[in-house]
Amino acid sequence: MTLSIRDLAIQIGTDRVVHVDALDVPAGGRLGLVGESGSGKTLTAMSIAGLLAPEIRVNGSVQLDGRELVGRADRSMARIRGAEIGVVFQDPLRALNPMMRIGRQIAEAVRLGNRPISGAEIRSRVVELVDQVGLSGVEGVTRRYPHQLSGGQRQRTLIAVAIASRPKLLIADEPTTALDVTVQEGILDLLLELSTTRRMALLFVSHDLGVVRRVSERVAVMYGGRLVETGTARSVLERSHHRYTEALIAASPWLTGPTERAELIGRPLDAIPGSVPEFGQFPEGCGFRDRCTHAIDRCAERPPATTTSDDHTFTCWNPAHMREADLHDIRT
Amino acid sequence: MLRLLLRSTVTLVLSALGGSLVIFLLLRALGGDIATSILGVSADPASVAALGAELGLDRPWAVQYLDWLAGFAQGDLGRSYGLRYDIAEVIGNRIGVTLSLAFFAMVIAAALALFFGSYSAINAHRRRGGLVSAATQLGLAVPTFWVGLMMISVFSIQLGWLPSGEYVPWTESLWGAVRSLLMPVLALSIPLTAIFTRYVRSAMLDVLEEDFMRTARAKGRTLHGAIGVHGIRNASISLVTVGVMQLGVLIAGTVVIERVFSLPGLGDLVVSAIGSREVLVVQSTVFVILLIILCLNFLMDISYGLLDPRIRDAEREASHV
Repeated sequence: MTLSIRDLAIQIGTDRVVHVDALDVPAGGRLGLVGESGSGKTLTAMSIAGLLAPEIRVNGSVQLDGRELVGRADRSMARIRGAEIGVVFQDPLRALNPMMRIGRQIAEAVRLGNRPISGAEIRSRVVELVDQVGLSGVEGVTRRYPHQLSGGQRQRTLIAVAIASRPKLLIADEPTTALDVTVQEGILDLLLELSTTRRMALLFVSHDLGVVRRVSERVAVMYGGRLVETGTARSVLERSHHRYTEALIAASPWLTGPTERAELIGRPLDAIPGSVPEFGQFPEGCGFRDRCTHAIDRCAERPPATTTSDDHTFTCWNPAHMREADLHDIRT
Repeated sequence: MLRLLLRSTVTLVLSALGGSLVIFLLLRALGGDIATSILGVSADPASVAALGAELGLDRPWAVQYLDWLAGFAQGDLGRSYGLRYDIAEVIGNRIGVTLSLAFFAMVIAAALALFFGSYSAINAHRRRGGLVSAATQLGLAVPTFWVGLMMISVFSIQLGWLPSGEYVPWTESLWGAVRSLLMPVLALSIPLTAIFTRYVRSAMLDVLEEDFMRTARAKGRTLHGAIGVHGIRNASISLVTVGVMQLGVLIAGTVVIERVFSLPGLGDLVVSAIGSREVLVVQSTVFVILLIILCLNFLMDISYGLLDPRIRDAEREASHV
């Protein structure tokens, strides 16, 4: 496993806001981490790279190729993430330093991620990266400042920064959310291509099920700081068991193909009732039960993780798409 | 950049002209007859009138003003009324002291503020961060002249480490100049450091929240590394802004500190000239001080453009319209 998470707990002040029991991404694997804002998905992703603010406490285990990352000092963690973890952020304009030329920002990542490296090697590597992310057609791109590029070009720059060290793991946190729909496709293609050709594990964080479906092999759904459902992209998104996943899909205008498109046009979207509570204010038991239209009394107890034969895990007392017999198994 | 340069230059010239008029009129409005004060109250009216005519004080204000300005443009500031010394020469001799004081106080304050401000921002949630804030409060409250006096009493009188009241020019002895300027520069830089530190702190708190700081860490920088490379530069813009605003305060501070340490600077000159009613000396010296402030303002305007590429581009775009 490139990435292996066990019992990851993130605590802000006295509130434990994230608790991930288990999450794995194999080498070259592509995992989509899905959830509404406030579900804890970005916290989880940033904790892997050790990029949370120092006052946020992280416990449990995050292993990258078998090496423990939790509890490392900043210096040691910085070296590891520089060399082995790449991160693409949501808002590429804000994620780039407005007062520094693009070339220098990429070169900085090359230098920090490939130590030791000579100046000449850095320069040739920057040219190579600019080409790889499809920016070589932009005249004098390395001499430009972030505000002189388009949104898509900035995100490509950020991807160049993220892959500068040839990382084993690429974390993409809502990488297309701030971009125009027309530009999104190009960025997704680039991420997919990079992940496949370099066997780079991809952790793709997004609230957009359509995008996640396109990119991921496996999908993990988060709600209230916990994983509620994980499995292959196909089984989670087409035969979701957890009621939250089901509600999320019903609320998404995502489409898979021309035939379904025809069916879905005119379909009203079912908004999920209520809103995501503040961290630390989710109900006991299943965190989703106060917004769930299928909640039963049992939901006041924390539902156990159930794994079906096709490696599909969920935590729900009253799951969808289940036979009666299986339902009985879950509840006893 | 050219547009920025042009606009800053126009601002500089207009402010200088406006300032010269205000200085001139204010000194005239103060009243009091210069010839009388030189000759004394008991002098006979005829010789008072004769001296007034000799000094050109009987001419209309407009003529006096334009004559002064024209002389200034040619570097001829005339002679003082009483002691008849060449004003331009005296200012030339003294300007170095004031500029050295202001320059080094500014540089030291900026450097200290970048350090303390960043330190306090990084440790905002800890006690040591609050300690810095408390110290800046103190730095703001303590009067410069009092700090100067305390320094003299401790380091010059009791310990005898540093001289007070004797100024050694740079041209004579580098070490001597450093020794004679050390205490006044430090005294001047205390309130400045306090003010700057507050600005750097709040700018750094903003910068710490910036996404690009996280990107820098993702590249492999430690938190402190990211601050050193990306934070300081971005936070220093605020230092330029506050630096401009504090220029007047700084020059006013040098006037006081020059008196405390008996340094032969422009402030010292103004104060003694006021005492002896040397209107022309006061007028020219104050104007020179104004010009120094305006020139520094001009330089700082330009340095915005140099520091921030976005301002540079905004200026370029505006010039195409």
